[in-house]
Amino acid sequence: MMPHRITRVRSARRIRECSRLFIVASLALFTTACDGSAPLISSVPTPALYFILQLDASQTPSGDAYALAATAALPYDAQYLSVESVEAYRASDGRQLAFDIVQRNGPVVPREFGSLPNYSAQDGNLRWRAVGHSGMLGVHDVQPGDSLVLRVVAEGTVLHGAMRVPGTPVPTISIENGSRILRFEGDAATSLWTAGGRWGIRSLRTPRFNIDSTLTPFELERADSIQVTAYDANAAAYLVPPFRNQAGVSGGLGVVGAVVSSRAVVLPPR
Amino acid sequence: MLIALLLTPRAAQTQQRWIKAMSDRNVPVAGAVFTTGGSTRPLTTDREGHVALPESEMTGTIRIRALGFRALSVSADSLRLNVAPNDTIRITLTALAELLGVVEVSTDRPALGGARITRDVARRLPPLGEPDILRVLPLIGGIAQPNDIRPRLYLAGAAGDESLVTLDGHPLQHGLHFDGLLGAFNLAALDRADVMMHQVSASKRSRVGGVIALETRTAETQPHGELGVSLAAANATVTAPIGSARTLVSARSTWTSSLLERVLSDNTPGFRDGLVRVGMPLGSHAEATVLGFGAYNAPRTLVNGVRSGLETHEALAGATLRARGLGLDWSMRASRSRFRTQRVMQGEASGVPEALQRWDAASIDATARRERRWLDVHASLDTRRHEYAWNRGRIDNPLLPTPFSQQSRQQLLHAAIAGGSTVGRVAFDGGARLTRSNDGVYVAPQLNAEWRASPQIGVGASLARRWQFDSQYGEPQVAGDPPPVFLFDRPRRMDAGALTLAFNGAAMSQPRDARVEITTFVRSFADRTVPTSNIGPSGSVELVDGQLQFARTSGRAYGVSTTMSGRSASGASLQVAYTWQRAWQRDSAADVRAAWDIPHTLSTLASVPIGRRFELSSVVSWRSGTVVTPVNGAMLYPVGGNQSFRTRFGELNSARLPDYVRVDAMFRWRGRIASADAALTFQLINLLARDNVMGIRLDGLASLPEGARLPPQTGVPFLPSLGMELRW
Repeated sequence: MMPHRITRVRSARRIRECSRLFIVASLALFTTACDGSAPLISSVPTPALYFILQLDASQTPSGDAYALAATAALPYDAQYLSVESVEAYRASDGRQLAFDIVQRNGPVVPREFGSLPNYSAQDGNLRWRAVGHSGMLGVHDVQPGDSLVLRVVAEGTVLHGAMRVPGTPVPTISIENGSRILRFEGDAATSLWTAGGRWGIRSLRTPRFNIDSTLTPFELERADSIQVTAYDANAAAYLVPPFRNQAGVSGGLGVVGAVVSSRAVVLPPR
Repeated sequence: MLIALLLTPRAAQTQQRWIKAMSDRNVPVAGAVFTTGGSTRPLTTDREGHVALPESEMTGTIRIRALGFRALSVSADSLRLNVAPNDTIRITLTALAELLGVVEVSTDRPALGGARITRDVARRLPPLGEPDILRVLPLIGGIAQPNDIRPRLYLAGAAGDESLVTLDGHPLQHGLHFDGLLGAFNLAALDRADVMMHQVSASKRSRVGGVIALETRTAETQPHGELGVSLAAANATVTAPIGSARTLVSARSTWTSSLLERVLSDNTPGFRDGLVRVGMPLGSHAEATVLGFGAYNAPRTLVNGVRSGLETHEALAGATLRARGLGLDWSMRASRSRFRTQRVMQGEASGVPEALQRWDAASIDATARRERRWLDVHASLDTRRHEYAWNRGRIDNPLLPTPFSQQSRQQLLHAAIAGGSTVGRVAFDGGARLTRSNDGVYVAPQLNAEWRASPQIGVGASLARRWQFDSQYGEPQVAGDPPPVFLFDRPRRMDAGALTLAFNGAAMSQPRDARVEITTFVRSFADRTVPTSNIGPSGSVELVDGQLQFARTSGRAYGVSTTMSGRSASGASLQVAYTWQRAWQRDSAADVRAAWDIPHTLSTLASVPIGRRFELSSVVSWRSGTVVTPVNGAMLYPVGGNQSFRTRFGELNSARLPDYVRVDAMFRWRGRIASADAALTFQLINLLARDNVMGIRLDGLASLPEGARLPPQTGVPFLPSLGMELRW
């Protein structure tokens, strides 16, 4: 019996040692392995410049265009930045754009209990006149392929933006093997196209779109016309997931980009 | 304790003694562990209860252990001297059903770093409505789960779609009921679940994370039956010999929804599952088994007794032929499984199935065993075909397009060789698995070793490379539909290493069956697939060439899992499992937490017998909260007439939900009603009535009115429940 007793004593000692080791190892892990965790929801105000030039061939003449210099935070925490100066010009010839400052301050979105945060284009604090003056270019004067530069100084922050305007798509529709094929010419300033209408919107990576094989029967029932929109690289990066919070802007967040839409084209029957 | 030594003629092999372990109900005991004085490693009985013991190892005391049975020690000399060499030694083990065993049981297969859960253990844990072997898995060290409901198991830092579930060796595709709240298996039809994380034989089908191998219960020579009723469902299981065939028939169904409707409103479960297995001996050296399994989930939304939503079906038909011949053990398997989801509107199925996944699998294995050496040669074929077609928004998964139609096929050929031997106190095995896809041939080598330092202490190490040829498109959401599974010719790769230190105090008198196991693991993932979306300005998901897009990225995981367990002389038992593990994935240029990164998981299981017929058991689970990407603002969306904001997310996966804590308790009575064994249980689920946050929808935060917050989704509420089992 004696050897058994010795074995048991040794075994009991071993398990005690293992238990101690386990406890020490666990405590060590508890104390060293806790990782920091960010709060689930926070509002981090960051200077931002938002400007997407929208040119629509179906809606002429275009009105004034607006940009916004504000803090990016949760919607009701976003505040206008007090703009000290704005400088905008066309890169090719250095001609100034007819921007002026609209003095605004306080929250970008008014607090109204129960309402959704909504911002309209006219609430911007930088206005680009539709028609130029004093030798400065207006929105009407922009040509496809123009590179535009925007420099805004607000509350000591310099927000710098640059973009290149895409060409206006000119879609044509042909019937091939019983399917309606939409085609248009691409240009170097365009990063992404969308084709859309009353039936919905599709993103296009190539300037060819088989309408009948792509749209669902439900969409085809509603498809009576189609419009193509071209996005420059900044607008595409900002508006299409994975969303970038900074596209064409340096010195802060936001976007400086352009989208240009074609005229709506009536769809012929199949 | 009943010990019977019966002599049964059997062809003996040179220098080997055959032993057969039987229960006191005359049922072969599979997985009984034999430890001998002359052996450096334990031996385990096969499905028929047989084990071959080398004559040279029959010295000293032979100790036989099996979960649910009293341990037995016999003198090797008395067996050698009193039983003729050509006779099989038959040992009868007495069932020990009164006490709750520890959840995890160590065996030689699955090897160190794996785990085994048996039916008898799972049924003694506080169940959520129904006793469920899959819901017990998170109590094992190394396994994590995000919350009560999301149907995900993370094996040693692997993602949720990186583990494979098999039923008697046949691959399954879904196998869950009611959003993953329950496994689609009637517990009474199962024998056990083997979890293989760190050591998966090259001859076994696996995904990179590991395998959860469900085994149906051993066929019995006498008719036995079992009935169970809980608040959620009723089940019946019968095993009986019919002629020379042994049959197992099992069925389960939700038995009333009126009570659940009141509790759960319109999200009411409706499910049923069934299993049939017939085993037929073919001569004295072969056995054929056919298996049929089906699971059905009714659509969730129930209004005025009419259901709407998505119904899912999984069906599996499999056949296995086992034989001994030419000095080899042969095993041939073939199976066909089909998983289907169908949209149902007000009780009527609409159009074609939204998902139809077929998986045909066939394999052949030949195993040679000589003394302490073994060699497996394996060949198999997988043919899969998936078809997806729907035309509806998937609010549960914004990465999926509204209209979607895609078909894919895959054919994989596998060949594997694995072998092992024992030299002195070191047992080692290794192998390689070759898989041929349309993209090329991929080789998965592995090497395992175990050093038995003493009868109580063992050290194991493993190195392995694994490949996986499919991927699920995103994490399943709570109350969401199963994301589609895509098939790849170019696989995902994982390289892994694990080191295990195990202390087995089975021979100790106090505490009984004491065990400590500590496993450290490191895993490196290449080509891990991450779903990418291509969402257009309208918010709809766009396809590229009609296909959903994946990005391939790298990842890594590492951690330590520990498990301690033991029993007192009075029958009280305790198991404590703690796992620290981290999982990272590459995002652009930096490593960020993976969505399944759960650093701390602690579970305790305690059981105390009260008198001879009562038992009180409790499970305490605590784990770190699930990873989420925080919101730190909103960005203006400056296009269109109604300009608004979109959510601005912070660093990917840099925040966590609150910790998860749940305490369950169960009071169990065991006795006899008429001539049947009976058990009545009273369960208290989430005893602390804690609101465990499963998720907060942050992506719509920027569009909410001021002050509004989307309520968090919480897990299982406080839920008392009753259950009854009858066995005869």
